[in-house]
Amino acid sequence: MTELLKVSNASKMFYDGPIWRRQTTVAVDNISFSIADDRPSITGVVGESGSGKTTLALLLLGYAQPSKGQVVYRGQDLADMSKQERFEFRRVVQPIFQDPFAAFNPFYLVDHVLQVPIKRFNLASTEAEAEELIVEALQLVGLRPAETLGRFPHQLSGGQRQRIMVARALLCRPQLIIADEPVSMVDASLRATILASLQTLNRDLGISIVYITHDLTTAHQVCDNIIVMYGGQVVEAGAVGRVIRDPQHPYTQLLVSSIPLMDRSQRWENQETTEPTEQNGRVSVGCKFAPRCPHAEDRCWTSPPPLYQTESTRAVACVLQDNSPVLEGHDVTSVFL
Amino acid sequence: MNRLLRLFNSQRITTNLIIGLVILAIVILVSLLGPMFVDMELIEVGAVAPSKPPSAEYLLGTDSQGRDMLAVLISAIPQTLKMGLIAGIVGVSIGLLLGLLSGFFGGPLDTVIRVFADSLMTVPGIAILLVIASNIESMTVEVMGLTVAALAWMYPTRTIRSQVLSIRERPYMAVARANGESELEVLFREVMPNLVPYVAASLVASINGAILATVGLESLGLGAQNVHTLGTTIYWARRYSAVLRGQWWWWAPPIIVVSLIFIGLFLVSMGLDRFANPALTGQGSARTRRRKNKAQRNAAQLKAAANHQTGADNQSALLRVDNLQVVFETAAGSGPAVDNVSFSMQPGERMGLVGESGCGKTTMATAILSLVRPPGRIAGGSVQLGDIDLLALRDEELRKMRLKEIALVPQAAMNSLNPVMRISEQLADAIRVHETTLSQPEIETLIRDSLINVGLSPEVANRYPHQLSGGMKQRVSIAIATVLGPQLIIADEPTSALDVVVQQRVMLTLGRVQKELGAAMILIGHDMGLIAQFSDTIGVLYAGKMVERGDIDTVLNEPCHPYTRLLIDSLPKLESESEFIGIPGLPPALFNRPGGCSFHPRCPFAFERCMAETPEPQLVKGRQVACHLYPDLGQLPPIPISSVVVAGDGALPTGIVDKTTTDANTANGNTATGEAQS
Amino acid sequence: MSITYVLQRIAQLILIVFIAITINFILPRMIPGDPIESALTTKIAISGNVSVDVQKVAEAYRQKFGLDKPLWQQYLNYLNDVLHFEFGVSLVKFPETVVSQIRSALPWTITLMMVSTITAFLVGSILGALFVWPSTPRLFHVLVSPFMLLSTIPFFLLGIILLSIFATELRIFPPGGGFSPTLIRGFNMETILDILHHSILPALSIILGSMGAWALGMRAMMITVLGEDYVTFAEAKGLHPRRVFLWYGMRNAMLPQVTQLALALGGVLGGTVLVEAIFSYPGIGTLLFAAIATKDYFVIQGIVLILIFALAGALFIIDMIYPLLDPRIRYTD
Repeated sequence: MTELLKVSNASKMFYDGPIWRRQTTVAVDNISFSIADDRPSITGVVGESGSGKTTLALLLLGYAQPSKGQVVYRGQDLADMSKQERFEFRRVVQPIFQDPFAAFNPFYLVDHVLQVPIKRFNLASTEAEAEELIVEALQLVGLRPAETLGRFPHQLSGGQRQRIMVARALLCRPQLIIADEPVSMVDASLRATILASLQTLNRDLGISIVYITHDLTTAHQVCDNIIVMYGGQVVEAGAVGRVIRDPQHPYTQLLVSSIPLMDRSQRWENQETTEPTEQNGRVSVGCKFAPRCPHAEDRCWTSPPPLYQTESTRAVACVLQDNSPVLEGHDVTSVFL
Repeated sequence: MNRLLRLFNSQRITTNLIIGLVILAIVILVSLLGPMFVDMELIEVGAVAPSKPPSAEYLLGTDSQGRDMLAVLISAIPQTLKMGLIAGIVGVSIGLLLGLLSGFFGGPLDTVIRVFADSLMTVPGIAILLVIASNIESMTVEVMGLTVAALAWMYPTRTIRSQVLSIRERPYMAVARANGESELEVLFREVMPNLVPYVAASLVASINGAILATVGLESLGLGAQNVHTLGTTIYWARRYSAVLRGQWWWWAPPIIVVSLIFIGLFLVSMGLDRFANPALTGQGSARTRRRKNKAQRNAAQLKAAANHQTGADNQSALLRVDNLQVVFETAAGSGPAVDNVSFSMQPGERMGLVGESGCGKTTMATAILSLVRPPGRIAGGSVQLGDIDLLALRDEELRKMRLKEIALVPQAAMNSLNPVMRISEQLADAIRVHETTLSQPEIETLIRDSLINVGLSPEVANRYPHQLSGGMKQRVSIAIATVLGPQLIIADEPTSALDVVVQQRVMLTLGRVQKELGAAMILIGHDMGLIAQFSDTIGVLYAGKMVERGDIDTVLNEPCHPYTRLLIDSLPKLESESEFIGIPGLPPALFNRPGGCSFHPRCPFAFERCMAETPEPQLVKGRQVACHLYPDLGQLPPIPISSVVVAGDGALPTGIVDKTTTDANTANGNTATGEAQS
Repeated sequence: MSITYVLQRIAQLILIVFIAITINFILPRMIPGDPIESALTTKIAISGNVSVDVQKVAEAYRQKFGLDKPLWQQYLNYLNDVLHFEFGVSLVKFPETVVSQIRSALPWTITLMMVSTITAFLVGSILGALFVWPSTPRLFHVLVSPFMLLSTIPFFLLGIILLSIFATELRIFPPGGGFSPTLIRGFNMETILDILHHSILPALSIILGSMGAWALGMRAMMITVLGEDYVTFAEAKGLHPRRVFLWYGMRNAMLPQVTQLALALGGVLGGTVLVEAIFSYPGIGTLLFAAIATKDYFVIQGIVLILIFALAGALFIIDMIYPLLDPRIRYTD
């Protein structure tokens, strides 16, 4: 397998406060995975706020540099790319952001975000050809060009705007799209259409997608593989069906059991808990979930558990699974479908 | 260029801006055209008879030095304006350059510029200006303008820097980079155009400040020499005691002209504020007072009385809403956000209220609490809690019902709690206003108990909201809402901003507290799963109408209204691998609702009657449905996938854009980032 | 309040004051002409004594004040003097010291300006808040709007208008000064009333002239605050409208205004030079103006320094008390 984008042992730290009393926040903690070049995939990254999933997106896009480890694009470390290589990388790996309202410069017609990449990346030789590309991209994401072009962003709905953003990414002829919460600010009834267009890009055009979300149900719906993050660490990863249907890490279990299901036969147990007070003051240098974990042991607090490969398509970072073999190289890609 | 013009188009142009520009234009025209009508040689000393009050010959009279005041005034205006323009343009140019450098590139350059600007701002500009003006021999208008600019560039720099900093963080900058734009392109194509309103506002402010400072100096006898300016004219008037001698025609006209310039600039800057600060838009219309007129109240009382007789079979109901109508009226149009909705609730009932954004869920909640804000207005119907018609109550009586009988659990949008008050004060506030007889220790016990009751430590009482997590804040809101044991709780998306794990915990607590109180509850939400987990009954709103209402199991197992069906199908389910499909099109704009059944443009089953006739609610299979398919139809057929998949948002009737929906949202107190919220 | 926070603010204060007094050192030296010589020329022209050799006397002065030394040495001397609040002597009213002159003028300015600025702030803020409060009667808008427009007229020009109406035409108030020339000052009712009588017109012109700006700022903030969820929630709690208005609306809308107030109070000394000059009020402004007219170099520099300290001091104080007003701002960094 050749890798399009490979994250190896990447960590990202943020520092706060004066030098003599510097506080370090680890946003991403030693993560390794990769996106294959030859086989289009949809990889989900799931976590709650503060899990580091957005920081991971910034690392993948090269908008931030890892503090430790590296992000490698086709064998080339993102940190030491030439200007030309970076320009090429920018085209091939495209972002879609959470907020479809703020992603448009209010000063321009929506056409602006579609015309610029064609010009910058020299994708068309004539005006007519450029026009054709735009129309084609809009139709692919289910929009009618006549009802979209020539308008200002505020004249379109959130769903329409987000689909224009998908079309924009598509125009750049990318091989990988990093979609950071692409539907969380769109009305629930419109999410389906946007996710469907992402799936179309994946199936029909062979574009790989990293789908970053807090929503397990949509991840379950669109992803092949999934990485569950907590406090910057990977807690569980593998084939999406296995992880969500039969979670093994206590955090994933908690997450899955918290989903409000439409099925009334699976009502929440009436087991009320209170808000955890700030981890009773104790900070874990090991597993970040230890302070909230019902199964936490002493060793959980002191050193981060390795990823155990519990089955062919799953790895879990929890000492409860320590009878399974430790995952070679810490790279979760090896348990992906 | 026409893009630039767009910034200054249509509804954002206010009368303020126009009047301001007109005043300034008149002042400029007088100074430009004046010399064609007035003999400008009369500004020489001794040209005319001295100290004459205004007359037909000398329209503005003459001064004690024998000058014609009208001629003096006309020659003075352009000098003052020129000075202001020089100071403004130079100052803002420096500000734009430094502000852009400082804000966009940041780093050490930013620090140097910022510290230097801050320090210079502590230097008293007017005093320095006095010193400089008094020391420069033969000061000219131009030098004066440049000096003022040199002492005032920090102000535009600061404004522009902070704007650039805020624009720099917007997602469209990242999009531009992903589109392959270089840093310089990003700066010039993405940042600069959005600065235009701020640069214009800075320019106005700078000109204003410059004229203020120089007219001040000149009226003390410092500043430009050998020319007439408005300031020097005032100086000479004071110097020759015109004020004490009552020669008002000498000092008053320059003061009036200066004042006109300031009023003009002030109105222009107020107008420009609209472009820079969108929050100010719509204030004009919001000024209509929220007040029910007497006739309306009487009508509501009559109606309530009538209902009371007819609704005898519905005696056990806790809440009865009858033909409730809430209308939004703005300059852009008017439309019913809640349209003839009727339903009732039993004590202890949990009712889920669902629908897409813009369907009137939140408006309905605020209407039940009588908290609809302008431009919204309750236009008709009645809301009855027990035997009390809430809409017939006077403001004071209504206020006493709130919290005590009907409580709101607000959206967990992070700021439902006053950021500058401790939690205990906010709880005490709520208790004290309703329970006036309680002593301080009793109140404290109540606060303590209510916090414990929602799973918080009593120590939380001493904290400020920002010291609490999102889940804890929402628990505080629940504690406030339930502290007086209301009969009805309205929870408006109480967990929409919380993570799933926290959401579950908070909802379980809310559920327990509600059960213990025996209160009824309306849960507004967009998450069907949450509604399914939590409610006993459900109401589906579409375009302000209740399209389906019934027992939760009945409705979820076999939705009868096509909209309910599509709403359920559009959600992904963990339980099944089934494809989830979107609802085509968008909810109609508030001010542009289609005739007949509002849902017909998006409905896969719509037929002729749906376009012509509004369906009335009818009883179908144990629930109420407002749809023409019934009673003829036995069961809703499968939805043809072809009709919904690709049509997408494009299936809108042309001409309808959701702009008005967004406006209504904003007016409603929501932000324009509408869809995710309701 | 953490020590770090205080130390940090103090360091910031020192840095800003240092840069500001350096600018104060450089600026006058960039002005063409010799201040001492021109001051002497003026003084001599006034006294009518033509036999004095201006050059020679100036040389003596320069030596005395160290103005013949190289620039860096002058700068060090200047810093040293500033540290000791040693602003030198008045060139015109020699040998009176600058400090003593400032000391006699400062109380006049501080009392008049503080009182009127704070009054303008309070009245303006309340009017501005009432402007956007939904239950404000329409009559209020009709009555108050003209006052807001009046505020756009600069206050020294308002002063001239007030003078001509109340002093020249109606003769209700005196045309200027801080007290009657015939008054024998002492701590008694007569003195206080006389001083009050003289201060009403200047105070009124400042209040009327700056009220509008406060009202506008408050109006804009209040619009934002009234849209906040906590105001809606407060109404849903059934609180009395007055309580919502004051403690949920104004209390929050006030916060940014307070920073502005600190700047205004710090700037009071400088900004009201013009008003004092119009009313010949015996404060810092009149002193500065007189010093400029007679080119009394050291007095000017002394006053500018005082103004710098006042503004920097006001900013420092607001940094210290702001966290008390807004709990979200922490004393830690």
